Amino acid sequence: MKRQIAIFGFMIIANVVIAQDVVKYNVIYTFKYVRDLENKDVPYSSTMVLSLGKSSSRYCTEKLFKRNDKKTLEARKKQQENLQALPSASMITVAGGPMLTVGKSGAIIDEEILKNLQDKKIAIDARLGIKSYHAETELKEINWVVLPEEKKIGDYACQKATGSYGGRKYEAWFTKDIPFQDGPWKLHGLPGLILEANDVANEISFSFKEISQNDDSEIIVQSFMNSQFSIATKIEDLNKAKKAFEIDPEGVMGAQAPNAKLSVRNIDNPTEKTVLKIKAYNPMELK
Amino acid sequence: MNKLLKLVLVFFASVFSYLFGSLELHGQQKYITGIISDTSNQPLIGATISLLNSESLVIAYTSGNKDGSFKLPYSENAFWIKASFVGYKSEQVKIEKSKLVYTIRLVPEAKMLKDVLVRNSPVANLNGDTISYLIRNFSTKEDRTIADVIRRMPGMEVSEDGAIYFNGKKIENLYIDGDDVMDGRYGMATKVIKKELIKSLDVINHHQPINVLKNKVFTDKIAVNLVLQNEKSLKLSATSRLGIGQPSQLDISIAPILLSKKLKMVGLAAFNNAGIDFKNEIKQLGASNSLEDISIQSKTVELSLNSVSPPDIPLNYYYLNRSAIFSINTLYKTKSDIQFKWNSNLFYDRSQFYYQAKTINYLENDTLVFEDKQKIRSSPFLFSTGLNLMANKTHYFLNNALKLSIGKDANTGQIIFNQNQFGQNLNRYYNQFSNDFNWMPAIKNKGIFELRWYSSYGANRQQLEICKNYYFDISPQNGYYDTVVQRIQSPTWSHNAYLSYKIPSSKIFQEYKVGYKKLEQVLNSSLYLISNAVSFPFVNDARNNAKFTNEGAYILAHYQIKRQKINADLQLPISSQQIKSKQPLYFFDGKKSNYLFSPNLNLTYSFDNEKFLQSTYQLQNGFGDISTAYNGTILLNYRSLQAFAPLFQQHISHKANISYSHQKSIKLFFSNAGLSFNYLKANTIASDSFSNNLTRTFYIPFFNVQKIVSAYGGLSQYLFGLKAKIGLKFQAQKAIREQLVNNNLLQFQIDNIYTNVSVDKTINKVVNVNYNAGFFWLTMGISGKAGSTLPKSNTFSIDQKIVASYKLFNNIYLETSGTHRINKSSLFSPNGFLFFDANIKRTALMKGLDLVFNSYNILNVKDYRIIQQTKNQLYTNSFQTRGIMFVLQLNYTF
Repeated sequence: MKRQIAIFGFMIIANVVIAQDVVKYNVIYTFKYVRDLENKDVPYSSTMVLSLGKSSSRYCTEKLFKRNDKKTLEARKKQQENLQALPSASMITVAGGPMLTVGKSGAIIDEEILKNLQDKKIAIDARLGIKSYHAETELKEINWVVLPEEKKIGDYACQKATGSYGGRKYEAWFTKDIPFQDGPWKLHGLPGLILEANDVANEISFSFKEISQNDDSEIIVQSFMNSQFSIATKIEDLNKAKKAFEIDPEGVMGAQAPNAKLSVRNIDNPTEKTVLKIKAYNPMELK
Repeated sequence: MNKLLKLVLVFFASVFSYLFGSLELHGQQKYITGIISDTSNQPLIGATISLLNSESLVIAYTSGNKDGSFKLPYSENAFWIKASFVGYKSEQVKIEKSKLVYTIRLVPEAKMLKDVLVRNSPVANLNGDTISYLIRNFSTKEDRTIADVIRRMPGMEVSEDGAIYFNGKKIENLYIDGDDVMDGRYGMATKVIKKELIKSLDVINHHQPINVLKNKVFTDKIAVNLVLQNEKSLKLSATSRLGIGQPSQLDISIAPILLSKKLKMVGLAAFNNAGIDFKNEIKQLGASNSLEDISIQSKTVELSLNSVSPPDIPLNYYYLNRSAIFSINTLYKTKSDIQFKWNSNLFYDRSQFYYQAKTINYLENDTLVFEDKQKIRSSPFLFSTGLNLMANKTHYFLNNALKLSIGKDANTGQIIFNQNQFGQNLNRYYNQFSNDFNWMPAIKNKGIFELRWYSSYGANRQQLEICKNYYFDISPQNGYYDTVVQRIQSPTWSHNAYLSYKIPSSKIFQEYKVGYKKLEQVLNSSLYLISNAVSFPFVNDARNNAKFTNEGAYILAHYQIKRQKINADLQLPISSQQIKSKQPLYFFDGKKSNYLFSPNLNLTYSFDNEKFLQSTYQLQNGFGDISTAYNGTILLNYRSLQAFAPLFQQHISHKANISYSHQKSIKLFFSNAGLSFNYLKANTIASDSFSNNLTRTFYIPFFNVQKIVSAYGGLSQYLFGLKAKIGLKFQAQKAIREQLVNNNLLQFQIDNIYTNVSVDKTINKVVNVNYNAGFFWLTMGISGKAGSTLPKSNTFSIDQKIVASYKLFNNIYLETSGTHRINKSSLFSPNGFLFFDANIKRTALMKGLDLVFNSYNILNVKDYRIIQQTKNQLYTNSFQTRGIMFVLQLNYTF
């Protein structure tokens, strides 16, 4: 029974994830996003990791990446084995719960994007409140126009390109020295890795921070978030719920867990218990 | 062979591309085509091919197709053609004017990028999702005690009685540095331990406190452990509170605390007259040493001064008290890890209670009205102490808990009942002694063996005195007496011992138990009438000298199955019971042997992550206890008499419930619905007979059935547009039961409907509003031979509550709450009540000092009335409340 489910689950994931696509590089970006047009001074900011395989990739928050790091998982497993009984207990892991994690610019969403460039598929996993959702769709092609402009980012010679995605016009800088037609978030399709990108209104930006090579051939491009507990949904519904959650995270979470009293954890200021609400929501994808 | 095939393929592809390319020559647009392969001529799928200008900038690009081919529009500026692919060395070829087809071979390269920062994998950061709450991360300057900090912790919740919940689930117990210092009464500990003493609070999921069972028996339980900041130091600390208010309110407490690895002590001494219930401080919230309670639950007869139940409003509105508490909890651990624990609690109170009640008894051709008005003063005293010895080793577990409690309460009442004014006194003494022994050795194979033996003795003495002017309405001795005295003495012995064997397995958990239970109870009672200092007993059946025993062996098989979709728990207890009841006064000496089977099944099926079906079934079989096995009449209070026919009370009940839960969480929609059935069959029926001043209830042999069917459901939806949450609950219930009233068999049919609407909306950063409204409607019809003459009645009530909280300034918080209730009945005039509270908290006044201002019942509602309906009685009770109260509180820790 369990095995059947595991196989079934694997089949769902297999659409987007290419089996055994070893992670070659992990690229770290700083992501900034003016989520609230009435609070432009404090944009949503997060450190993101793009893990590149030969023809697929995973893009997620650094927090999620670290939490699922091989060594961390092993250490945690070991610790759990040691801490079965009370007298020695000092730390025990507990999964999930009506805990609302926020930052100075509002709700923080654990999100993961898996791209399969070969089959042109994209899978999005998001944790909104106490539930995880999974949506799959076609990877939209971006009609980039490469421009004869050059600049250096880190040690890499980059060239500029412009293209439209989700109703916004982006300026992207790619390097042909890193031969992945990939990039942060949903951006992809240039003849080299996109190291920097921003929309022309300057409300969204991705900037390159670091790249590291992965030498462990056991680490493959796979989803951290999609599990048998994820709820499969349509991308439109996911976007709608995500919007509601970003605007009023407390309200949405209160609706998800009607009888539980949720608590707020502000990672920027642990003593702050009020959750910032968004006044003028500025979606990343305008259409 | 394969290689050759590929080679041929590459060749044909090249030719094809060439032809295709040449064909295009005749059109307007020229194309550069070609193939990308590796050194062994295998086509490379997905390689990047770019055309570069003289400055090496990309002017056009594409990716290689499935066969490794590519096609790019020709450009005059194109100077280079570059092919690159992950894991291969990039290749750059100069474009020749006449050449439009290029075959590029890429050489594999292990490490392709120069200047790549090769980092170590990130250092393990367990704080991400480990729930070990570091106190300093969650506390603010304003927080004083652990309870203050717990309220801020994600997923943690503290209920009004002090019980801690994690993710909505009640925790099993609270430990201090791994020790159950409070013996499960942890409510007090969190309120008095200051945050500086604790380093972190750990939430332990799947908590298994017994070392022998570690890694063998899985539990779903959650426990909380407070980790000490410094377990070596032996420093005394304390928290204190001083509250002064109007009208002459005082609330004072001091709690000394000493915590170290070897010795732990938590104490409390407190007094208040501001409506705070100290019984919560010593309430058993968790299981003592996390062991299952196996005591035999039994009841005895309780005498009382009144016949009303307390009002359904918060206690501090009507609790006119003067309470004191003294508690000391100590735990000492030896070097060899054997722990001794001593817990002692002393509670004393003097409280007052005023009420006025009107009870309408609907009879066949008559309506009898009872009117009561009473002022009661109670002074309960309770002392409890416990000694515990525990060795929790990896090779054995040994626990022995010895408990003793002594209680006494004296109550006096001044009553006007049906125009007669009289005084009454009730004195109760009770004590209980119990011992619980538990031994679990570790054995080599997988199974776990356990021996447990619990025994207890309880004594209970009660005396009710009803003084002059009380009309004794029982023939043949009706009349006025100086004093009417009802005495009861009822000791109880009980034992429960078993041997069990558990077989843990990931597939199916099995447990087998063989045990023996014994319950032995005695009831002696007498009713005396005193006139002119001469006492004489009531001549009729008003004495008891009853003895009741229920003993027998039992076996139990318990199975648990946990699967992906199905979760089942089945318990199959079979007991051989022997019941003896002896009442020499009524010439009853009965004995009965029975095999009883009381299975219990719990089944959950999950269709997917958002749809569940749950069903439960329970069969209960029982013979009751002494409280339903006495034959002589007992005067329970000034207006009620009760007795049972001399035979064995037996009842069988079937309970079934099925519920379905459906969520559409992406749309934030949650719903559940269920049906429950309850069928109870008993061999005796209550027969009520009413006279002008008395209700006499006698249980006589008559098979009767009680049926209850209820349907319930709930919906919750988050409104995206309004950004508010609405909830709706619904319950409809139909109950049918029978009863004899003045020798007429009546069937009562009670229908009730309850709905509840709630709205939760955060208005902005500083204001949050919660609104809740409940509607309750009940109708009762009576049928039977003479039932048609009794009225069909309705009662209706609406309950509304609104809570708004504001953050005024950085350190000042204001919370207001209003509760409105309307009670209406077809037979009483409607009434409405509005209660309004407000409190302001100013935190961090100076180091260690907080100021709180609480005001209750600001609208100064002086009395509160409820209307209730049971069987053939409708009553309206009004209670005197405290009125407006202000308390200014200073909290200080050192």
